[in-house]
Amino acid sequence: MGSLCSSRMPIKLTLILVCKIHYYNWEGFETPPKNIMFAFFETLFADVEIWEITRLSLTVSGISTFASILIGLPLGTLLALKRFPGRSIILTIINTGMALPPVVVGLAVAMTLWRSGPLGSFNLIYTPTAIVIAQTIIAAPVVTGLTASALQQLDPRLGQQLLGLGASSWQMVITLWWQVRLSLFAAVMAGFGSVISEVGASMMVGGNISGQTRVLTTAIVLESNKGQFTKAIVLGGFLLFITMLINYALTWVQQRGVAHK
Amino acid sequence: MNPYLSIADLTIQRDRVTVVTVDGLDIEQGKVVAVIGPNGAGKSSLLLGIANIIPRKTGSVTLGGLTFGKLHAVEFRRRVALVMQEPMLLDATVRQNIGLGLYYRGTFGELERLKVDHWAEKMKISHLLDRPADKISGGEAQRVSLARAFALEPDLLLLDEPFSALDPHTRKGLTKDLRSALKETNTTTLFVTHNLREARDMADQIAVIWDGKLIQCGSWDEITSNPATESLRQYLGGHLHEE
Repeated sequence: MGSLCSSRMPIKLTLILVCKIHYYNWEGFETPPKNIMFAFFETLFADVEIWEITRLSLTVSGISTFASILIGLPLGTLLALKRFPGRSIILTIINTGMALPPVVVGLAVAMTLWRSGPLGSFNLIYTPTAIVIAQTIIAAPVVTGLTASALQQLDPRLGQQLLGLGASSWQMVITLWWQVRLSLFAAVMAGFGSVISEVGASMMVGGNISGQTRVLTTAIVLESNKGQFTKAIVLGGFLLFITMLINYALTWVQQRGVAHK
Repeated sequence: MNPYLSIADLTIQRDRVTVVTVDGLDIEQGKVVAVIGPNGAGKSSLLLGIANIIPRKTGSVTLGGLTFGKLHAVEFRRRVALVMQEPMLLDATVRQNIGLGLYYRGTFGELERLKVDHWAEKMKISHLLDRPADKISGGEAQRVSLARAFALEPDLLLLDEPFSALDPHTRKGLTKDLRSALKETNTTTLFVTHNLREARDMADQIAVIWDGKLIQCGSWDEITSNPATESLRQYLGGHLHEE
């Protein structure tokens, strides 16, 4: 029991997993990953397409996250600080939106941008812009909901106190954001996490066109369907690595804030 | 008498319900007026309404000859400083907290540092300036809150039960320092309190808010010797006996 709980347990489990994959009977698959580590690096450095896919994934998800901050931060603030008719309904919609299945968003956006759809004349279907639109619809409720929730945790009299020190409305809002900055960072991380990992919407509105709308998640689906598991695993590992790197950077900034407290 | 703060026909609403009305209240420059009355009478709402933090339905507030309405709401608020029952400090250092209102007014650099240092010294918290505000005691936090308000050199200081959450010993020390600061700066002050002895000791005038209405304003002797209503007489008697 003692050895199971040791700090080396994750390393042991990883080694067991790698060996299992390495020695698994891969017969029947088109490309058996006989030497998976070699294949990983070979694919990573030799396959130019993977870098293009990664660049597009980061660009699309980065723009979507930025757009969701532009929408979510003011909307979440408005919902947290103001009382107006219909506020509860909007909050319910936002909270439901936080758990929106990406494939449903993809369906709605695809129908809207379809050539015969209401916005078909813009010719956006199967373009990176379409993916950005769909991913923004996925991430915006997450950022909005978490922003509203963070601000609602504050003492409502804090806003009055700030106004009583001469703050303009904008100065008050910016000070309140500062006060909940760690939670807002978490909101942005959650927003980014929800779009970099989604596949349904990108597939439906992007079409997974090589060199144009193929992102990491849709590429993984494609390679898996083809039985090209080595490439699928490399892409999956790379997606995990990038997500971890970005979240590590954001967590570092967030925890610096905690340490300064 | 030439009033510095003049309130006329003021009606303050919260969620479309009238919470306090003041037919008229005039205060001379540098005077301290204690606002007393039972819980829920509308004392805090009166302060928030005067500072235009909650909207006024009707009436006028004139401060130093300038009537609100001719001034932008923010400009009016910047002539006022509010201290609440809870210190409401930010997740920042004590220095940054004291300088907060100065930042809002665009005062940075040397001038801001001098003002913060001066008022930290007056409130005996100079040794805490670089400490995070959440690592200080309740009494120290309220001193920060007072320093933050005085650093603004306001025309009108609004104090909403600033000492009610403190223990008697801390309260005594803080009251002494507040009186000294008010005397030095000659700041016109409205001071909400439940403590009638505090009101008697600190204020030049007493304003009584009862059921959302200003029912009497005068010196301590006038109020106690000739209260406007029988309920007020009982309230004063009961509270003085308790204290």
